[in-house]
Order: sequence, then structure tokens, then C-alpha cells
Amino acid sequence: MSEHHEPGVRIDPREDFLVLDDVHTYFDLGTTLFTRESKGVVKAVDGVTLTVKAGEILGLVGESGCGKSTLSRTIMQLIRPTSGRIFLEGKELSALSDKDIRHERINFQMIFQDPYASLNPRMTVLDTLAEAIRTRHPTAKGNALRGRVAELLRTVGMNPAQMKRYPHEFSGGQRQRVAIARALATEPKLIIADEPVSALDVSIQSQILNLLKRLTREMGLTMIFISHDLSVVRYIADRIAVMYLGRILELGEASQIVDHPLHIYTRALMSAIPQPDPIVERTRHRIVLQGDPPSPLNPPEGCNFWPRSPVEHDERMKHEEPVLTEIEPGHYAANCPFCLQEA
Amino acid sequence: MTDHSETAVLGNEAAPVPRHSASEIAEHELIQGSSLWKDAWSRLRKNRLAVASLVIFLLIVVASIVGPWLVPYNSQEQDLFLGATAPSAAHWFGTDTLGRDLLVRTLEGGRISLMVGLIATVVSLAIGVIYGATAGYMGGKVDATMMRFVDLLYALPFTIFVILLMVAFGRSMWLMFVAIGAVEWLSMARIVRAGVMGLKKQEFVEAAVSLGYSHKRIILRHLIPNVLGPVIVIATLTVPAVMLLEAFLSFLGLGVQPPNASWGVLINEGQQNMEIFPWLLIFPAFLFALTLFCLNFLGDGLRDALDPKSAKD
Amino acid sequence: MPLLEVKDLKTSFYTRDGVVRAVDGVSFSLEKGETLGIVGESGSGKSVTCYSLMRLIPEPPGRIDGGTAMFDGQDLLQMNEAELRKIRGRRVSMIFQDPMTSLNPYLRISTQLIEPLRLHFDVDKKAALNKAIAALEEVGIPEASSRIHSYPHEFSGGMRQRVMIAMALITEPDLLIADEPTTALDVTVQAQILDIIKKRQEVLGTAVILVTHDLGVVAGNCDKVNVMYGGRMMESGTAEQVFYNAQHPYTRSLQKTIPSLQTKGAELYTIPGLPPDVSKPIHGCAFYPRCPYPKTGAAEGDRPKLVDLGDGHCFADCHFCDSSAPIESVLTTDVPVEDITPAGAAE
Repeated sequence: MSEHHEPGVRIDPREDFLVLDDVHTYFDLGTTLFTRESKGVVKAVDGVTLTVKAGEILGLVGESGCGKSTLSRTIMQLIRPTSGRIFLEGKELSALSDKDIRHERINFQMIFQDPYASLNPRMTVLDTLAEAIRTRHPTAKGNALRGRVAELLRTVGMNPAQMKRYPHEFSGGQRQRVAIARALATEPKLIIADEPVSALDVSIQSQILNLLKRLTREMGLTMIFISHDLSVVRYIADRIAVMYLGRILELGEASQIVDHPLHIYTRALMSAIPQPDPIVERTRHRIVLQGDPPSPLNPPEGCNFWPRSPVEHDERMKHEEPVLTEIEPGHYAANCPFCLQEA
Repeated sequence: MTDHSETAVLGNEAAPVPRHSASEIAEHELIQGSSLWKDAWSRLRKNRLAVASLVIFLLIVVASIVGPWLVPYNSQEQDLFLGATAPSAAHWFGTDTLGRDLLVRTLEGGRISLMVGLIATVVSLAIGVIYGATAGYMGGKVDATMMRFVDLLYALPFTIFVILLMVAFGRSMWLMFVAIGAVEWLSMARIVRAGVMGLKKQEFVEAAVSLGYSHKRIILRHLIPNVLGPVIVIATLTVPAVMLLEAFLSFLGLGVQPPNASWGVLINEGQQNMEIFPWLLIFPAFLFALTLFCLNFLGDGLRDALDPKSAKD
Repeated sequence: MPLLEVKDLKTSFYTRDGVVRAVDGVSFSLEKGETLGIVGESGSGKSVTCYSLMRLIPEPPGRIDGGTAMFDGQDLLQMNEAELRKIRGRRVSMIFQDPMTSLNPYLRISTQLIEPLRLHFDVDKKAALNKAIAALEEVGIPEASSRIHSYPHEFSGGMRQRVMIAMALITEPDLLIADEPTTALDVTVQAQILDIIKKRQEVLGTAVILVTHDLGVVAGNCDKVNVMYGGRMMESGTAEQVFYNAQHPYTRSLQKTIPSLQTKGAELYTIPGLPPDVSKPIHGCAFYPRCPYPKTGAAEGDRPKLVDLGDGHCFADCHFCDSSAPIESVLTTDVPVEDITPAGAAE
């Protein structure tokens, strides 16, 4: 439907804030002990090209196993990409040695999903934050250090008088605030939030979402916000990328993605979100997908969505990988004619 | 309920970390890394059983060190005419078959047993924890190599190992430490490694990596404190195991040589005459058991004290 | 007579830190074939309600302190162990949240599916296996006759939850209790699972209690809704009544905090503070400290009484706040400093 568009996402490693250039992250499961047969390769991230502008919030949406968490850890360089390049402010992170990456890490930080596991249970909030602050200010100590800890806690809406407490004395929402404070402690430029609200109660979710949005704006941060919940991402993100089996299927402004999604997977994802309105919920049309998301171990060839798509694919698209193409200004979609069919 | 926050604060009063006002915190000196131990100590002090055990244990230690000088007998001074006598005013613990005062022998035996038990345990703790944590944290080939070495040592039959040492270096107390140390840290290393492998996947370790902390820092500050619970329990079980091992080595002729004695040796001797002279078994065995009880309660107390979560009463 | 009528159910946990009143006076009734949604956040007592009905509360520390649960003329709460065994899995079944851990990893699916049949009915192995295969086909598992001999780990999360549903429904129970059955699943799979439960319910005429934290799930699947907070009932009624004519401040606040209801770009509505600590006595209204409405008095003394609007729509009529005031006027847009010490500080 869009042969006249130039395929691929335009990237400029020197200009854009964060650039992912054809990033692949594979996990080789090795060979069996005796027969030496390959146990297979998990293609967790399978060719992602993406740019993030300074100061924006990019939402990354996908179901379990789509590779969104692996992608975030690849950007963090917690896992090194199998191939492809990652640039942060023009500096190629993927080319740095393990030692250099350690010094670079203070510039990009991560907020994790499970606030019950992401804080060291044997360290007080004060110790946790002080340790993180020292990565940026190695000589900080005494009152200055404590003052900074108190300031961070106030920033995330916590009472600094609680700094001597241990994580287990806080509720999930408060722990997540501490985790956010820890990420901010190194004064990073980029924050990757991996499902930061999915372990929290609904009434606490909105507090954390508002906090993240406000902090990003006020501190001029750039954020990648990962979630399986499109409605949450829609609220917080400027742009949204929809990921499926290691690839990006659709990318665009949040309003573009939500108001007129192009890819049938995005549409199905939207239609699957239950709306808290009995009449809407009982009458609306739902795009039903077949089965579960397939495993990234030996994913299907071609347009990787074909086994679950309600639209039958032809032989060509079962073998030929569709390219992420700019369908309208700033709005990209994997160019598979069957997936892009109007409902 | 007029003020929710007020009641909530009251409810948390007993929490291990009291609520400070901002100014109080400013006055409080921040000591990096030691706060875990400081907090643990304050929690341990609230555990009566652990404190009582600590006091009794320290009494035993002090008695073993200074006791032999206070008792008016020499541990090697024989009185063959006297022979074995039951406890009396002159000999509180009685005398053994050679007429030696059992009290002074038990106290001197305590010196050796406690020294062996504590030193060997501390050494095995230090080696085992660091070795195991490193292997577990590094993973992959480093882990495989390090753990194969452990397996190799495990596979070595202990008795043959000891005899080889004796043949090569002759008899010496220090060889005993080497022999025991070489064996005891292995289980510790395995347990710590297993614990670290489990912890490594937790997000707080990932967070530490993404904050750019060094491997050393992550192992020492983030991993080891979180495996201390099982480690301390194992350590308290290691002490008696080591003391018994010492008795066994002494029996083989590698450890304590007559006329010196350790608790293990005394118990061994006492057990041979247990029907006729029961006190020869009862007193050393009682002290030995008391020490083990104390260490066990102390270990449990320490494990709870080191876990911030457990201190909630 | 309704199939299940629960009156004033109270369940507490007697821990060394005090008495946790996990469920404190819950009442509802359920007709044959009906679906009741119990909505609430963690610690609201919604799961404990279900476990109490199944009598799966570990005693001690837990104890059912009071109330009745008349199931087809018998009180579930008064039954002895032998009577319970006849009911559990036969007339009342349960599906749990995590399909990854609720199947025994060492037993084949077939063994686990046949077990309840052989236990409650006099059937031979062959007939039981055939029935199990049919049950798997009914929940949409392809090639059921061969896959039934697999082990749980060979199934994905969604497939396992289907197996759980098949297992729960294989005895054609009168009541199915589903405790957050889709929380651990992806949205696209969630939709499938909810559809399957609904379809099977229509065929078998089973009544369903659906426990969830997701108002959206309730809206699409439930006839009746029970909103819980701090172990107590805040509001109950038909889905329409609760969603379109919410009376209780908590229900209204909850509706407003959900991101998908927001107009884009606006700040999300926030319920300030933290959920209540049920291990401490709650005076008056449980939602009082977080209530966005203007306070008309201190929350003390008795709890608000459940008031029936006349059509079965009940809510805890709180007299400590003015819920007729427009909520926007007191909307706090910023995140407050949390001076309210946490609830579940220790889980």
C-alpha cells in the first residue's frame, strides 16, 4: 500500500539523543551434551532501529516475550548486543569496553518492575541513595551527602525523616519512589523504566505515573517507558513503539498510535484492553488473536505476526520480512500488506 | 481517629529504625557499610536467649583462658596413688585414672578445642564466603573452574589426606588447622555460591550493575550481606563439627598429643570408663554441649538480627 | 433461594504483630449462572473472602470469626473437613492467579485432570480420560488428545490457565471462584480466557465469583459488582449501578484514576496516600484518610452503615464527608508528601 515510501527509520547517530541501529540481541542456548545439536537461539531482539529525541518519553509496548525487557537491558548495556550499534549523545555505547561502560553508566539509569526485588533488603534507604550519589560525586560525605539524600526523597514525594528505614518497612508504591530516587541520584540523562507501575495497585499507579511524568519534564530527562499496558503508555508517552517478537511493528506519535493504529496487532492490542464501562465493554467489537504470543525461540519467518493474525497471509509474507516504513509523517509500521489492511 | 498519621507512627515505634527528625539525622554520623552491623547489634541485644548464650559462652572462654592458673593443680601432675576419684571439695570435677585434676584438664582442653573450633571456622568462613560468592557472581567459565577445584578437594579422602600431610611434614598442631581448614570451607563455598546465584537474578543486583558499581563492591555490599543468614547457621554448625574432627585427628595422632588434652580427647577417654567413672565423661561432655547450645542460640539470634525484616516485635 | 448467600463474613489473622482484620463484614448473594465481580486493591480482602468460602484459610493464624455462607442450604463455614471435601472440586471449584505454579510440575496434565473426576465420580480411567480430552477441547486447546499427556512446562501461561479452567469445570460445579485468573497473562490472552470462562458458564449454568483489581475486567464480565476496601464492602450492586451511578467516594476515585478514562494530556487523577493498614483498628470509614471530598467531621466511632438505595444498590453511607460536593474542587494534582505511614509496611 505504500511502495512510494522510503523503507526504514531515518537515523543520525551524531544528531539524535539515543540511536539504536539495527540492534540484535540473541541468546545462544548452546549445544546438547552428547549429540552436539544446537538447542536453538532465542532471538529476543531481532533488528530494532529506533531514535529517541532528547527530552521525550518513548513508550515501548508489547506482550510478554516480545523482547522489550531484553531491549531495555541491551540499551543499558547490561546485556551486550549480538550485533548493531547503540549511540547515546553520539557516543557509541556498544563499542565501549566493560570498564568504560561502568563509568558511562551514571548517564543512563533504570527503574525496575518489582519494587520488592529492586532494593537491597539489607541496606537502609539512606545507604542505598548515598551509594548511588557517590557514583557521581565520589567525595560527597557527611551533611552534604545526607542533604542530597533528603532532597532526592523530597523530590519523589517521600518524607526525608524516613531515610534510615529499610525497604521492607515501606509499601510497594513507596519503594518504587525510592527506586526512582536512586535512579535520579546519579543525575542521569536517560532513564529506562521497565514496567514501573505494573506491580502496583491502581490507586498507587497513578501517583507514580504522575511523578515520573513530572520529573521527566522538570529535570529535562529523556525516558523510555516500557509497559504491556497501552492505556498506561498512552498517558505518559510522547511517542509509542509497539514491539512483537523482537521487532518493532509500529512506531509513531502517541496520538497517531492510539487514535488510528495502522498495524493489526496494535489494533488487536487496543481492542483487548478492557474498558471500565459495562455497555461499551459488552457491545464492542474485539479483534480476536489466535493463541498465545509465540516463543522467541525459533520465531516464525517473514512477517512474524502471521501465525496469530486474523488475516490470512500469503506465502510471500510468510517468508519475506516486512520493513518498518514511514506510512505517514512520523508514523511507521511494518510494511506487511495483510497486517496493514483496514478492518 | 483524628489523625491517621499519628496512630501509624505510634504503631511503628518498635520498628528497628526509629523515626528521626531531619535535624537528628544531620547530627547522626553516617558510617558507610557498618550500619548493617550496628543495627544488627542493637537488634541482637533485644534477644534475651542470644544475649544469655553470649554471656555463658564468653564465661566459658574466659574460664578456659585464665582458669588453669587459678586452679591449684597442674594438668600434668599425676597422683597414681589417688587414681580416679569422684568430685570432691579438693577436686571439683574429680580426678582421672592417673590422678590428674579433671577441672584443670577440662579447662585446658577448652583452650585447645575452642581455639581449633573458632579459628578453623573463621578461616573456613572467610575463604568459603569469598570464594563461593565470587564463583556464583562471575558465573560461566570462572564459576565452572572454581567449583571443579572444590569438587576435587571434596573427592580427596580425608584420612588419606591427613596421613599424607603427616608423612610429608611430620606431626604438628598447625597441620591440623590446615587439614581442617582445607575441608571445612568447601561446604561453605557451595552454600554461598548457591545463595548468590539465586540473588544475582534479583533486580537490586542488576540495579547495582547499572549504577556502575565495581564487582568487588557488588559482591561485598550487595550479595554477601544477603546470604549471611544461612552462612551463620552453617558456621555455628561448623564449630562442633571441627571440634569433633579435632578429636578424630588427635586419635590418629595428628592433633593434640598426651599429656595435653582437648574436649574431644577427654570425652573419648571418659567414654571408655563411663560405667565406672562417669564424671570423666559428664564434665567435659557437659561443657562441650553447653558451648554448642550457646553457639546455636547465638547463631539463630545473629541470623535474625542481621535480617532487617525479622525485627518486628 | 440464591445459590450462595454470604452474610457478614469476618476473617482475621492473629499474628504476633496484632490482629489483621482481612475481611470485616462482607455480604453478598449469588444466583445460579450469575457472575459476581469482587474488585479491590491488594489488602482489600477480596482474595481472603474467596479463600474463606473455600475454607482454605490457614488456621492458625487465620480464623473465620463470624458470618454465614449458605451454599444450597448448607453453611460452608460450619462444615467439617469431610463435608468440605465432598464440596470442594465437586460443587465449588477455584482457579488461581498464577497458572505457572498452580499445576503440579511433576505430573502429566492427564493425571491432574482425571484426578477430580475419579475422586468425585465413579468412573473408570478410560471414561475419565475421554472426558478430560473433551474438557480440554472445550477450553480451546488444539490437539487435545495428544497434548493431554504433556507436562505443565510444555504449555504456555495462557494454555496452562485454560487447563486450570478445564480442571475446575470438569466436575461441572455449581460455583466457580476465579481469583485474579488473568492478572498474570497478557491482555490479548486475557481476553481469550475471559471469553472461555463466559462461554463455559453459559453452557454449564455455573455461577462465577470473579476477583480482580481491574475495573475493566469487571465491566465486561460481571452482572453484579462488590467493591472492597480495607476488608470492608464499600459499594455493591449491578454493574450498571456501580459504574454509572457510583455512590461511594472510593468507587468514584477508583474510576477516575484509571488511565484509559483520562482525556489525553491531562494529569492523572490521584488518590493521595496509601491503602489502610488493616492490622490496626479502623475507626469510622476506612477510606477517610484518602477521601477527596470535603470532610464534615472526624472519622470515629461506628463504621458507616450499608444503605440500600432500594434497588439492590448498596453503599457504605459515609457521614464523615460531603459526597455531594463536586470532586474536582478538591482534586489534588500533585503528589503529596506521604506522611501517612504505610499500611502494609510489613507485608
